[in-house]
Amino acid sequence: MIRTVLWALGILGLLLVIQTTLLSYLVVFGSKPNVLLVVFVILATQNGSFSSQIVGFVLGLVVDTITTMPLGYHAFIFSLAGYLFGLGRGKVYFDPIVLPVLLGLLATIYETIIGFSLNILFNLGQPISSYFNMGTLFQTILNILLSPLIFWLYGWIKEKFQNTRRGFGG
Amino acid sequence: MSSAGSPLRHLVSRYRRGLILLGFLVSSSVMILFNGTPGVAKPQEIGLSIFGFFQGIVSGSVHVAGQLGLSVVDLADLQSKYQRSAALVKKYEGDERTLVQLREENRRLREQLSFHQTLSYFNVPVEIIGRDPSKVYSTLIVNKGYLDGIRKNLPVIATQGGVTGLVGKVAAVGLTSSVVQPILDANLFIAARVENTRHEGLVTGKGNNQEVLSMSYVKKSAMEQISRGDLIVTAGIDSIYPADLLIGRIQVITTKEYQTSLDIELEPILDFSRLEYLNILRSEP
Repeated sequence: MIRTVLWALGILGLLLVIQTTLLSYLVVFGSKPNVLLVVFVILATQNGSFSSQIVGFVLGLVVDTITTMPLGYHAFIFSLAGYLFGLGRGKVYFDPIVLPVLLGLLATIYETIIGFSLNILFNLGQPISSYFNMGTLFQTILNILLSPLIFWLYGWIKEKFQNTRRGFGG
Repeated sequence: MSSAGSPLRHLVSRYRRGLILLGFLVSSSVMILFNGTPGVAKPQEIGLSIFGFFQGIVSGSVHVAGQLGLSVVDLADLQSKYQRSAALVKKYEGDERTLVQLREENRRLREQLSFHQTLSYFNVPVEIIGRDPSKVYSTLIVNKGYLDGIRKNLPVIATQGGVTGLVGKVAAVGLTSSVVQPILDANLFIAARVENTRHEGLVTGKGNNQEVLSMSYVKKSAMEQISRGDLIVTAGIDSIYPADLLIGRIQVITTKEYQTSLDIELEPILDFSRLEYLNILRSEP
């Protein structure tokens, strides 16, 4: 379990750096894809709730340090996402297109709704338009489009680096 | 002893996953609640210092790779430009003489009009190394921090196409990197005024990914005097921003019967999607 958490944190940490630097060049209609969220959700469905909520909490705290949102905001969103999406482990069949697309869609809707709820609950002062706007719609589309590609890449990397085949007999 | 402890242990082991989640959610909520309390924000600054280091490396590598690619293209272009330039030099030699005369004339006219040099500020030039992970314009991360003399709430400006405008303020400071809260953020409020009529108001971002600002609390009586295209500058009445820094241009003015003030939509003077380098202003060198 510790190994799973550390691997996930390593991958997501690297992705966070890429998300805040390289992906800033991929702005379409004022929005950029949230690759970090999509990968986190895919990892959660693979690793399960227990480790994913821990990964989500730590990752969220790191994200909080580089945004102007209060410390704990992203930790809440990611730890709950880790738990909820982790519940899907072993319960859904992963086809290469439909489920990744569905996960990309659900993840973006989830982030928007939970973020908006925290904003209301803790009176964070963000206007409604900062959650529900054309930018969110474009980001949802970008996330949906990228999800199958990310899922394919994830499968490819997993196959390359985690070859679980072993010999028999003896 | 063991019989008393076992039901509790059983309960904890059965609901372990849910209890850990509950712990995380409660911790997150407590952190959000106590955000801004002195001392509590420290972990955020430590995290920023560590994360900013990695962002600097990636951003720097991309910059170097980009420069290398551009250099190759530039070299190919250089030869043809050189030939054209040589022909132009002869023409410019003649123009230069006229320019020197015009400069001298300009200097004399300035002296005659008692033209004062605009107030210059001590500043630290910084480079943008990262942006908000999800929203494009919510946060800018720059490559200088506490060790370079950056402090929280210092105003940030940038120059683009010869125009200098307000970018925002420093929201958090790490050792070698800082977070800049741009004026497009919905939580940043700036006391501002219309440059020509001096009507005051409050400028804030709309918090979404569009580069639009809104100005409120401008008296309805100003409706006749202000118009589309008028410049909005900082009022300088709060302690953060110096006066008369350009913020934006009026795009749309709306008014409602029941309101005593105008709703003004502004276009920022700077194109935030093209910002690369900023200047953080300081009160002392």
